[in-house]
Amino acid sequence: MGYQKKRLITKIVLTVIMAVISIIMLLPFVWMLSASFKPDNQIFNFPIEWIPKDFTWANYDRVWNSDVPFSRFFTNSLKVTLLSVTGEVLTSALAAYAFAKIKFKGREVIFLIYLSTLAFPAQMMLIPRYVLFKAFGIYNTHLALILPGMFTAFGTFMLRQFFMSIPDELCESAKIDGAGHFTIFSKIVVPLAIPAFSALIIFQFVGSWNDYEAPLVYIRSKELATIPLGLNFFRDENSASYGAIMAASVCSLLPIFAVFLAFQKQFVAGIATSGLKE
Amino acid sequence: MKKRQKMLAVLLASTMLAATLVGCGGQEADSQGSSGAQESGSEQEAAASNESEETGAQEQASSGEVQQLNFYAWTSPENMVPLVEAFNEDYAGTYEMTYQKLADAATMTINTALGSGEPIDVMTQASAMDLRVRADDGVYLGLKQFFDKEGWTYEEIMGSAMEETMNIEGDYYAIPYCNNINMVWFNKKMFDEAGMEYPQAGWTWDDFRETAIAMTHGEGGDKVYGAMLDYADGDGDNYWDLIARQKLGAFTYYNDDFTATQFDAPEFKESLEYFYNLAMVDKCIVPLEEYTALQYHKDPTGMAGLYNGKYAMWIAPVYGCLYLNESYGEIPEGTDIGVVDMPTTDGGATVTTCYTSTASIPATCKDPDAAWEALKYACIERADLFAGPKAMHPGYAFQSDEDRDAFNHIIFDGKPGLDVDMAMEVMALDRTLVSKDNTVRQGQVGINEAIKNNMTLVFSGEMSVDEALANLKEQGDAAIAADQ
Amino acid sequence: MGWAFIGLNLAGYLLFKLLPLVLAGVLSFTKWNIAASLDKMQFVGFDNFARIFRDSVFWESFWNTILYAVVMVPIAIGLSLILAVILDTHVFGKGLLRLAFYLPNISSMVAVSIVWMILFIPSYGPINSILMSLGIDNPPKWLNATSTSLISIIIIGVWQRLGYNIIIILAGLQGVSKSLYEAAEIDGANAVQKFFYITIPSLSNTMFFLTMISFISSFQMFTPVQVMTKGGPGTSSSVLVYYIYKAAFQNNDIGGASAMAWVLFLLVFVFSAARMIVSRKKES
Repeated sequence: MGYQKKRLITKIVLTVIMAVISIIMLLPFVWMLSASFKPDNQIFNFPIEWIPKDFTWANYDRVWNSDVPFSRFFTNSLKVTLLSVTGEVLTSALAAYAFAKIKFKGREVIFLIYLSTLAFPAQMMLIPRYVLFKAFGIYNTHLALILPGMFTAFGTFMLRQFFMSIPDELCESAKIDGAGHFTIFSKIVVPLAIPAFSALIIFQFVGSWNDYEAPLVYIRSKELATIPLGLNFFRDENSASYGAIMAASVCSLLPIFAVFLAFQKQFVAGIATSGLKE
Repeated sequence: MKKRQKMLAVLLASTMLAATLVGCGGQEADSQGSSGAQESGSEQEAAASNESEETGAQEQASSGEVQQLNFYAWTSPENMVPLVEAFNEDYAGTYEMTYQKLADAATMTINTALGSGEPIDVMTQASAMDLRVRADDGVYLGLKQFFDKEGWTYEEIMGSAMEETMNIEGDYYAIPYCNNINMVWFNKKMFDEAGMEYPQAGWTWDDFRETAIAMTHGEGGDKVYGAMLDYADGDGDNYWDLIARQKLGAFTYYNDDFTATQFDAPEFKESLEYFYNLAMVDKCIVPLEEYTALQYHKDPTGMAGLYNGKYAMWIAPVYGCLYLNESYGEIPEGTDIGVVDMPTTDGGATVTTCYTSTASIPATCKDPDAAWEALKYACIERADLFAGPKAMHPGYAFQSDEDRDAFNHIIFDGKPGLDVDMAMEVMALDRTLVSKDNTVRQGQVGINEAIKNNMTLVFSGEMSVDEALANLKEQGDAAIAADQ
Repeated sequence: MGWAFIGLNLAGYLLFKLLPLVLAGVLSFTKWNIAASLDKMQFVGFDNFARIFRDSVFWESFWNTILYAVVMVPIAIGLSLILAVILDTHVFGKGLLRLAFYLPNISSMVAVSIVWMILFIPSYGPINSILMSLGIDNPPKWLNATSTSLISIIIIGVWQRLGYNIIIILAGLQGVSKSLYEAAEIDGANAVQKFFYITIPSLSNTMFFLTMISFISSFQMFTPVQVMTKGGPGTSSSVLVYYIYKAAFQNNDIGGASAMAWVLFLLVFVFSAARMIVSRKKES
């Protein structure tokens, strides 16, 4: 009983500490939310007014009801993000399995190249890709955003590391039972790595959803703009409407929340161990 | 086990969904791709059409087809409606202008649009350096031919200050579509409350300093400053050299033959020392740390700070009055904003700085004569519809006082809280303009980098005025030498 | 068999990553304006490389980048390891707390930087007000002094990185067998012992990934610098990718920017090759 009680108290204390730390994490978000309900000329008042003095819905109204087709940007973002994330998870999982569980010639060298090219600044990929995409005829199409996102070294590297944590004995015993690589991949490795897939999906969803520079360089038509690029329509000659941009940012966070909350549920201890037991 | 099967099923289903979607995406891309291919093909077409330009234009005229013209800028689309509508009415049956909004005015945004092979007839830019680079790289057409055809000279239309900075090796590659003149905005209410007289044209920098000190009061977060100006922001207006610019004229940083910088000139020391004292000694202008943190470099925020009483004076271009606009939030009751010309050292004739944004015709343009019509229309004939709605002065020189006053009305009328009469009177005064546009390529990147690096140190209190200017001279000269 | 699995990803990778990378290598030997057509490209040999090696700001940015990575990565990983273990089991409201820690990663970067700039205002910002009320008379000037600007950026970097690391570690923790902990508990191990003798060793693959990715992404850090300090005061917080970005995106210097990107790439290539050889030797 004493042990249980001590545990409970520890848990409560830790929860309180974590909640306090998380307040620091929440600050920018709260600022964003608060700014989205303020008129532009009060956003930068100092000291910070966390609760808007003149509360207004005008920014949200502007985002959804002006000439700017925000819902169009939203759909575009959804399309680009879903396709590139799905594609990435699929191609990376297959490649990661090969890197982690199949021995073949050249594996290490290819992996080393994959790994090191991650370090090439993403911004400097934009220019050569722009030249290539013009040659491929996919400049100013959504494919220019989707395709590079579908084949990433990041996803492959991440999944490889998680697949490597899965004991080889599991795969070996399946092999003795006559299972091929694809069966081992789909029946053993993938189910055991669900938390890793969840993490990858969260990261890539956020990355693709918030990407500003790639659409800026590859997309010219307003009709094809994703949300971050589309936010430029709330700018005029010399400046931006911070209120509208914050309101749009708040709206654009909702799908991220949904994805996060859906997939973070997969971080439940026991998936891996239950796999081991069976 | 069941759970695993379920997950596998989900995975497979999503895979199939993805595959189908990609399939569809591919088709869609095909249709878009083909139009893209057409566009990229237009480069060759453009090359070919340069020869057959005349015949092309004739064909156009004889077939009676309306020719499409694409006008590229980053102005918000609703501000472009009047210009586009007026042009299409005036040229009905001949040309049809379409506005294409750029995401922003950044170098890369404009370069990728120019390089994309899209048919562009008029392209705008904010940076004089970018203009120079594009001109040097053959991206733009020389415009002198069109001025010749019209029987104009650049100088008589645009004025000599513009001619001086826009002349690139004897030709002109852009027309300024706006001219942003630096003024001092002030909050009349704050002056009234302090029992201070309003600043008047012909005031001196000493007057400015005394006024700023007198208007400064309070402590900490509630401190009210005498003035706010952008003296050392990396990409900003860099007013630390304002006095040197007033005294030394255009291309301030360079010596007469552009072989070296002149940061060792006493005017630079006078200028930097003056603003250093305001910021670091008298502490009567908004310090750098607050300036960056509170986003005062954004013009609506700058104007809001003025009418919300955070400071009494604000050095900014004329278009600053655009942000006296209820769309940025309610303007406090009794707001009364005045404007005055820049102070000078001796209180004599007014000299003030200005800078422009420009419009050009890409070399790949299919029909340069048509593009010229659009360019001329937006920058010269109907600047009231292009620069006007943005509260900017046109790039050209006014031919009469009536023209000038009519334009100033467009700029100042209907701005809540603005003393329009004062603004009209002040803008009617004589002033000499010094352009800040730097179309010299040698060393410019290095000089700007050196200015940013040294000035942020000076205004953080980590470097002396003399040391900073010595560094600027050395680093600037090295940059020029490296580019020669 | 391996190739069948790898094929799809490899093909896409070659086309969309390696080919552009090689093309960037070609660009690093040229002088070219992206606005002009390709035939205007001039080959300039090693000029771009010679130019950047002579450039003192490049070298300062280079060392700042390494300093940032070397300080930021271990702190962020250490802290997030502790936080992740706590978040994994020992708290109520896991889902919400995880979301809270992840928020800095997804909030608008403008909001993030404005909030931090205001928190850091030296004269009367919240952080220094607290420090002064604690009796510190001369609190640091944070983003506004050469001695502390990079440290401030590191603090923001750690703060922003925590949520990201926590998710990776949480995913890794799910693979640690519960039976190991149960066995340890029977043997009377305390929480700290369990952490060092079970959690850490079981996470080795995850930690390798996390370390590599953290280093790589800290080599690429640039948005906070771009928005908050622009590399200043002076060049005290200039980092390599910010400098590269400025060259390519603002100064029309695609050749120079590509050359700098390649230098960074080669640096990491050597680093990861060394890392792999070392870990291989350990295995054999």
